[in-house]
Amino acid sequence: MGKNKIKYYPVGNGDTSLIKTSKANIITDCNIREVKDGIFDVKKDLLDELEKRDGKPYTDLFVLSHHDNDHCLNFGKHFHTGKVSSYDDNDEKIVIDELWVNEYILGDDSISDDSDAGIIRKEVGRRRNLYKNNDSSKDERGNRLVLVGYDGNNQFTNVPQHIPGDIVTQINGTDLEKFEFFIHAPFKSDVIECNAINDRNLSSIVYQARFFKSYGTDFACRVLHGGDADHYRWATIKEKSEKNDNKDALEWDIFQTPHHCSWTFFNDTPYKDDDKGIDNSEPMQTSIDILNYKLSGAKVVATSKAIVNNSDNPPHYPARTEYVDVVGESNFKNTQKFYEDFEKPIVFEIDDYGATLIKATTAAISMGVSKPSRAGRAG
Amino acid sequence: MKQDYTNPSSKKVKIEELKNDHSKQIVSSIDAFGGTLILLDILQGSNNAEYLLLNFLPDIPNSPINDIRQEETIVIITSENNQELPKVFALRDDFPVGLPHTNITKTQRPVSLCVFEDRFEELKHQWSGSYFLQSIKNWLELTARDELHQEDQPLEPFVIGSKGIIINPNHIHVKKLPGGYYKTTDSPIGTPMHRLSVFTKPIENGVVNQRVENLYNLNQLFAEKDIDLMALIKPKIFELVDFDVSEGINGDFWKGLVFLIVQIPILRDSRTEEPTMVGFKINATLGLLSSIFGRTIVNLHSIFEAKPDYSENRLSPIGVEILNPHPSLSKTVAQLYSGIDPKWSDSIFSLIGIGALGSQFFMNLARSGFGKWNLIDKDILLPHNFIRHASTNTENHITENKAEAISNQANILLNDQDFSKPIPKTIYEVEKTKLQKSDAIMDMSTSIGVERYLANELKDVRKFSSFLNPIGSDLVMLSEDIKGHYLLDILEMQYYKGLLANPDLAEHLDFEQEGKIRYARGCRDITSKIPQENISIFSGIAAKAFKSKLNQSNASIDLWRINEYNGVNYYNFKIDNWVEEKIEGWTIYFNERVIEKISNFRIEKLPNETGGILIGAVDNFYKKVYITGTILAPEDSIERPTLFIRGITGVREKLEVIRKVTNDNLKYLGEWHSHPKNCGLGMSGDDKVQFAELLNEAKLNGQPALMSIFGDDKKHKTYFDNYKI
Repeated sequence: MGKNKIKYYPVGNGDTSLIKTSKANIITDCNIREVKDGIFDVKKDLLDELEKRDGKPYTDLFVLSHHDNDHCLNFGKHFHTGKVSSYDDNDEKIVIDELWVNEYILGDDSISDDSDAGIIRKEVGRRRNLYKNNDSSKDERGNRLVLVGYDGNNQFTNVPQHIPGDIVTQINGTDLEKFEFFIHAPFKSDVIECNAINDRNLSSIVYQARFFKSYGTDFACRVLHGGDADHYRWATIKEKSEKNDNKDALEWDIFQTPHHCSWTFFNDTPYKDDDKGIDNSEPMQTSIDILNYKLSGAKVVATSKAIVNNSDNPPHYPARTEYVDVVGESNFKNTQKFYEDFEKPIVFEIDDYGATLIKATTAAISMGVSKPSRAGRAG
Repeated sequence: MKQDYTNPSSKKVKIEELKNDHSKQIVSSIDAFGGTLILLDILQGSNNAEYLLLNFLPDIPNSPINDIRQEETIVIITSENNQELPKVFALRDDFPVGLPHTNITKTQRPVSLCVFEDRFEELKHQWSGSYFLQSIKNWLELTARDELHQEDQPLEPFVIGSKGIIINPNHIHVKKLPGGYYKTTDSPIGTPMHRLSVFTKPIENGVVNQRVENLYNLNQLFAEKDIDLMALIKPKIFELVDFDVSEGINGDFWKGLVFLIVQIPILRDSRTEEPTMVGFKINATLGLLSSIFGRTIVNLHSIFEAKPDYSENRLSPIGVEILNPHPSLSKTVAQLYSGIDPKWSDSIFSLIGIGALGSQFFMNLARSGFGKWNLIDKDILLPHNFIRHASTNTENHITENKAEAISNQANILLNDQDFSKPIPKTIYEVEKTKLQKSDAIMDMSTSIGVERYLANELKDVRKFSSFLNPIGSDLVMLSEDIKGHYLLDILEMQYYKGLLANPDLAEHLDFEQEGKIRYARGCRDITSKIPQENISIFSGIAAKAFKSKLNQSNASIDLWRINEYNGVNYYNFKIDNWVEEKIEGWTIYFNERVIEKISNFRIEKLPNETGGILIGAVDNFYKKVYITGTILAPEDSIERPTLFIRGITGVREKLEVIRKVTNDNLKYLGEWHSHPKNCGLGMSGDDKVQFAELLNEAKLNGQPALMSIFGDDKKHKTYFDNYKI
């Protein structure tokens, strides 16, 4: 599988990331837009990165933090659903060996069947039924399903579950080796609240991905991914982790800004409305505390469109300022800005020295790792 | 090239105004680096130097070992003369100093990066602006990880000088050599120059990036490493002073300059340290230094004690020259530079035959300090020997014993009189106990007699025999196994068997009379026309093979051949098992594959009897018979259930081939035939008649008579009569 790395694709306000470890490829969310000028071809890059099995590209794990459109755009177009045996070679879709979702994907009545969230819901239902019926194929790659968090509506009977505080060292029944997840959220209360007020963000899966050094048990790099979890969720994460002696699960070398660098990580919105006398411009101390769990040389990655000094939210400029205050300008990276500067996604290679942001472009054609563009008279 | 930094003028230069080719190449390459390289400014320096200020954005991990940042401002200084590498400096005020691969400069900052190990003359063919920029980026990225200095690279010297001093640890004086170099000596001429040695505590790896020009600088330099240099030197100076006063040495002793050799263990990592040395020529007399340390000498015999004075005023005027230390050549140094496994350092090897191949083989190993040697040869060096001998000292070595000449040459080279001992005798005159104390014996005498002597007379020591074929195109090495199961004589037989089996080697032992030169009047005073380069190639191969075989336990037969393209072909011979049988004080060695071949042939021919000829060799001295092959029943043989008459068709031709290919070493030995099923291996009446015939024949040939009978279950019995030869 090559080098350990984590890749944040430039997908505007949305999330698509790829973790590559020695044992597994892991995609979290997808917001794969139609390719045109200025839009990075995420699918092509994924196909370059992923392994193939029986000629079918596959990811060992797909984590759907939650099913808002900016986290599952074009899922149906690019990811295979249904039995692996129904795979159509012409589609070149990506097979998902194991799928992690939160409970609300089945509890959300507002999902339309033909939306990408609807396609995922159908796939989750298919896999769920294999477990429910104790089908012998339920543990096969391409059928595996894991519920992350609380099963509020008892829709995931017999489905394996990871709950906050769990450390996950296996996927597809295979050891990840030198890599693991710490599950932070959603908590039971998040799931209940999300069902109550129909806010998908509240049930976001939050995890810490942990890369270990090649020898020993020290961490090489820890990455916090928070979906669109807001400051209330993060306050709970902080409180529970500290209370349960899991402070090391709060520490981070890379922090993916929740909700595309919006202010919701720091406080309620609107940020400020003088007319209505609203002022939420003071960041919550719990959120600042979370950021202060940063480690040496830590980087913040804002997965959003370019952040400009205006009233947009997300991305939100004052939120950016808060992040920069913590890690410094050179350690704050925005997927879109990075793409504009370097014409590539943000990629951190991870080794015993930690995470290295790879800015340089290598001469891939002369190295024989990339095809040159088509030549000839036909064009 | 000095790497000192001088500030540029404030005059800015536009890209289109750049004059230096290197500047233009660098600037035009910046675009290729995308956003990872930003040109900040270009300034004009003196002497038409151009200062390119760039921001590098190297890929730096979160937890770098060295404090290299994600953004570093670097200035590249190009010169009008495009024949040298541009200088590179890191401008950050707190850029770390003392990193590996940084240059020594007058001031510590800005830090001068040593981007290339090679000089521009070497690099210019691949040099380009982008290559240069990429190299700087690599420097930053690898230094961040402390990977620029590879694990297997030597540690960097503490400080680097321009000239050097050759050091023998046993010498206490120093003498001047041409070219600004110095050498330690035991026999000073004129005013003695004193050599002092001190040892420091271990320090971290990394060069000092500040120039040392005087004793005050030097003292400060060590103080920065928490080493009190003056405290280390003082007792050494006093030792000399006391010696002088007690011995009443004349005034020259006090006028001698002092050379300081500092031995500094450098830490490769937190656990391992490696010894390094640095030399300093201190431009002060022993007398002056003594007074600085608090002892002034009055009238050469009295000491006036005073307070030591290490002040800047006192030490600054004393110039210091850094000298790169070079250990004098020794066995250890030779091993180090040759990558020799030290486990053989004290092993004793005996080499027999110090001729062309032997002497060059030995010198190859001597130059790498390999082992300790007994050199055995009774011959002397005559003029023609020098064409291919390792000695080229025609003046002094002519008519000298070969072993003595080459032993002396090696011992002088390594400054080690114990490295080799000459034994100017024949092998037969050398005490066996001396040879048996060897860890291995190499025979390069090109003498079958020596090889057989070693095989039969010297037990419990591993032996090798290596020789060239008559025309010098092939090298052979016979190597006994470590347990002595396959001795040299058996390997010799197996070698002949191998020659017969491989058509490529049919001419290996061809002997051309016109290829021989008679160098004196004796019958044996013949030498071959073999070019020196063949000896050079084969002595190198033999030395390499010998070293590698010492690490292997198995027996082997190897042959190397120089081919028509001046490459070397390699042949390895399979070694068979041999069945050993003692008969009447003789030992019969029967090659197991030959037994197998005959037995299978017998089965094919059943119910008829069959037979053939036994091929091999006889050693009448050691009473050994080696059966290496057979000629199966010729086509005109008569094979019946109760009789066999061996035919003759093709036999003469086959024996001629065997004789020619093996240079007469293998030949007709006797006969074998088979008995039908369920018959014993005893001689029948007919067999007895035939054996009597064979005995008569054998007498004529001067060898024992031999007849083998093969029967059921692949069993055989060999009948033998040596008629008391």
